[in-house]
Amino acid sequence: MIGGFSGKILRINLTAGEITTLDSQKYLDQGFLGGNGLGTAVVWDLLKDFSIDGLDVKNIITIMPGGLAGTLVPGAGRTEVTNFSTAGFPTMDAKTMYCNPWYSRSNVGGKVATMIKLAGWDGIVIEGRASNPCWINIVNDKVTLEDAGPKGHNLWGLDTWATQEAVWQIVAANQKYGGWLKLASGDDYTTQRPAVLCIGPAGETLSRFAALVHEGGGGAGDGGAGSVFGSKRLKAISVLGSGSVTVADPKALMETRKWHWANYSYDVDNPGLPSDASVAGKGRQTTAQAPGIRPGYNSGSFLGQPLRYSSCSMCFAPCKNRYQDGVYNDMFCSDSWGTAETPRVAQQIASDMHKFGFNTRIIKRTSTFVRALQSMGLMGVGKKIDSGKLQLENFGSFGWAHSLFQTISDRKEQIGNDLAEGPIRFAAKIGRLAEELATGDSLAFPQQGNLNSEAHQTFCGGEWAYGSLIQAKDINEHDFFWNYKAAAAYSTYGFGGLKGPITAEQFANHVSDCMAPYQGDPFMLDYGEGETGIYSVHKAKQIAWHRHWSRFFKQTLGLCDWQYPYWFNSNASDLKGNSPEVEVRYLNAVTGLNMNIEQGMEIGRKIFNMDRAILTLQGRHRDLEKFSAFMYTAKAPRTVPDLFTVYKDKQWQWWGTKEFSTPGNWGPTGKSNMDPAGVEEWKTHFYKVEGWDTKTGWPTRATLDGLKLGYVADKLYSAGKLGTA
Amino acid sequence: MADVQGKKPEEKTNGKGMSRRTFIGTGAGLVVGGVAGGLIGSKMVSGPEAPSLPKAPASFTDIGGQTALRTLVTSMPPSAAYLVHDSTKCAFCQTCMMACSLAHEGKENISLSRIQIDANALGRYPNDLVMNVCRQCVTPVCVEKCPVGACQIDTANGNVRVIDQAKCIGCQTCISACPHLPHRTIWDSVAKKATKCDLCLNTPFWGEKGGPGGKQACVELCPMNAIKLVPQTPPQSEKAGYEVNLRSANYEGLVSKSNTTVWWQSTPAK
Repeated sequence: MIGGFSGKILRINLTAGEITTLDSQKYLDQGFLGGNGLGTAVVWDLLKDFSIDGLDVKNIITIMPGGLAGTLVPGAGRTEVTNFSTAGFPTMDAKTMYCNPWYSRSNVGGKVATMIKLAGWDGIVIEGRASNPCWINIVNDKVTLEDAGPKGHNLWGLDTWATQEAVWQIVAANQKYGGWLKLASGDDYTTQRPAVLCIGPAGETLSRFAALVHEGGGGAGDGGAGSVFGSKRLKAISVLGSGSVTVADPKALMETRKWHWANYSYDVDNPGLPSDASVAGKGRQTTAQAPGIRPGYNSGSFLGQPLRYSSCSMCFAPCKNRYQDGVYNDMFCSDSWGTAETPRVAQQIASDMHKFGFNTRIIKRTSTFVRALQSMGLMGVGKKIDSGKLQLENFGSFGWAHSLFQTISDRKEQIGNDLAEGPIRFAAKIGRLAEELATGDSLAFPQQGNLNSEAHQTFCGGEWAYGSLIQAKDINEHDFFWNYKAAAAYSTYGFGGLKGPITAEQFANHVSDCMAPYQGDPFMLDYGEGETGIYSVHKAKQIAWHRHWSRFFKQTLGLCDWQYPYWFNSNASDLKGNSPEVEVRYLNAVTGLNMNIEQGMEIGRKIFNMDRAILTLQGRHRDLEKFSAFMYTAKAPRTVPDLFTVYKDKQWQWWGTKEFSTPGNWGPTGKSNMDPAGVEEWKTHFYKVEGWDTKTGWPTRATLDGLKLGYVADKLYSAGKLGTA
Repeated sequence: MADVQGKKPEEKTNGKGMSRRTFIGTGAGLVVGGVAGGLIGSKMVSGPEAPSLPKAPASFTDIGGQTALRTLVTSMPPSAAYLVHDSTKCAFCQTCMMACSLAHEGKENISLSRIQIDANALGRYPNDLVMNVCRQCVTPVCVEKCPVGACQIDTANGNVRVIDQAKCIGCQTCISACPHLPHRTIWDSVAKKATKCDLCLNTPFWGEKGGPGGKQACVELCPMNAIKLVPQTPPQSEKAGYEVNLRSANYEGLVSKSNTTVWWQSTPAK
């Protein structure tokens, strides 16, 4: 057996009440080493028809720990969740505008992955729908379906925090935490609480942006995973493991971790900001790379409160906090509530949001959309959009937000029922979707209704925007983002006494040298709109590299994109980080597979192509891969993560938001806009780089055969969707 | 809360004009044979530069009474080193537990870890987490109670309290005898034997020398520097001694820049 794996996947059919196992060896042998790769390969095998709705009883949700989870590898504690989306995004066909349940993914940190591994499983697959509310209790190899209804443990109706605490007590039976618990699985003991992944009221009532919540602020929200649980009448999965995870080379793993920490991590006892002169030069730059990232990432907002820095399993860059009153425990930047009376109220709202079990990014966008409609005089009691009992006064108060959460999760009133369908469907129902996507005024969803995480993350022409366009979802990957932020801070401001700069040319050369198998092409990092820029084959290669890297190293092995890849290190004499060396060392120490970076990238390409085949069978086509109309206007986001590299006038330059926004500097019309024709050029380049049909964007047999995915090509052929060019 | 770094701005005195830190510094060799809790109260006793003593007898189960206890004490040399920790600093990354099992057993297993972190993610700081290490007790009841001498003092290696797996018969006497919650002797449900912290004397899956003069996997890999090996014998009372302040001044500055109170000084030790 490959190190790090048990060879078993837990398969639960809720309709039949069957608990069985799948042999994971055949998937591992093909390179599907956990996480997204394993989940997608299993879905491909188990689900014959991909034209299902996210709430369909046939939808499968997979919960797969990253392949390196459950070991000492730092930042590898993530669990991938895959399902056909209930959130969905509309096509651009105005006549048939509908929300397509694109095959989606999300992930969650905390302790879920480690516990699944320690319980002896490579992952969990959930099928079917229970007849009554239930939850799944996993204690090592003892797995039971439990009653979550009023005649059972009465979990249905509880918020996510109360659910977890109730499950902890149920699993402990009459024993108390603080000592060793004797487990139901036999002669096994632990001092740990189970890891619980659960839904709140929002998931129970099938809000299309409900999340799976874990601990205080962890969650897998994209794709409406919480509503998939709700549709299956599944309240929670609890996992408690006391077993072992094998490691192929324990000494190599220990040595790599020591080397990594000693040379590339922060010094916890000198954890000040790199820009803080009082500590400059003493500490190492954080592994999370950004100048503002340090233990307790959010502590800056709440100075004065004693707090604990908090980590996901095995991570040495704790980016969360735990507080004296438990409010805002383990929450994060994306949990920050934008408009609140005070920072304290913002914390309370964020906690409330997690208790209801919402996808934080979408509920926040929903709130601003509601606020905009109110401001425009369109929403209110007795108005065109009747707000019912929704509290619209005192915007920014806890009561305003709580009323929104309650109304949506109740679905009792028309406004709540409509909003629970998600902002895109809601906007369509009230007749404003086309206008909103054209103007980007109140609902700036840039990729065909895809969520605009943050303006700077969907900078037009950036890898985030293009990646999300291709994946039919917000990719939410911070790798380039953090490395650029770190280099920009170094170049512009200096880290305390460590003055930059690293030149744009040095940065582009170094990073591109790390991007096997496309290494040696610095123009992949050209964010300008010249010949080598964002419409060129160079940009197509960057996006291809990014998709492949993410699919394997981030989403299959489970490496956190706040730590990997690590290209820029301000404290090294050559300013270089440790990627891709560090990823490969960890991979081989745990698995014993003796792989190199190119082999990992090739598996990433394989997973990406299987994923693409599923999207193709769902109806994905070149014609659908267009940005929303506002992205081609001056409304398009041009805020960048501090600085990007641009090649212009035959020289490399650092460009910030100012340069990108200055009329005449950028864009085909000199208005800093994206060019629709340029995007089409880029798509053709990208499909060619991937070996896909340039007319349709569908994978070809030659490409799939080369990846040993001939069976995937067969299915596409049968469906009449195999690329030919 | 004890302060093994000596960085605490305010040092409490022992009533004789001697600070605790001073006492530690000058106390070496003062006391050998202090007994848990009742005999020495909250005083720090010295680390042993103690002479090597005869190996502990196989069992002390027949010993009782004060006189006998003193005899026992003098024949059970204290460990040359102790693990102490700062629970307020721990980020609950679980690294220490995984490092422990990997170094000793060659596999990742929290339940086989000799250090156990009990945390509640929904709890309230600082009472949301407790670190539990083997205390290398001055009076090791596990050693005292073991009927076959498997749980013993390794006099050749700094008097570390260890369990000889070859001798262990799996009776779990050491587990039930450990007075601490959770018990610091560990049950290996696969091997059907007990094990315990040996300060990494026997870590075949790690390329480092352990023991009192060496390195410990949990200390070496803890990213928060929340575990430390010290030569001083901590107070043996149940709720104090091993819980110490390991935070630096820089750490203090980041945590609460706008709060001039050094808040953890008033944090009660667990």
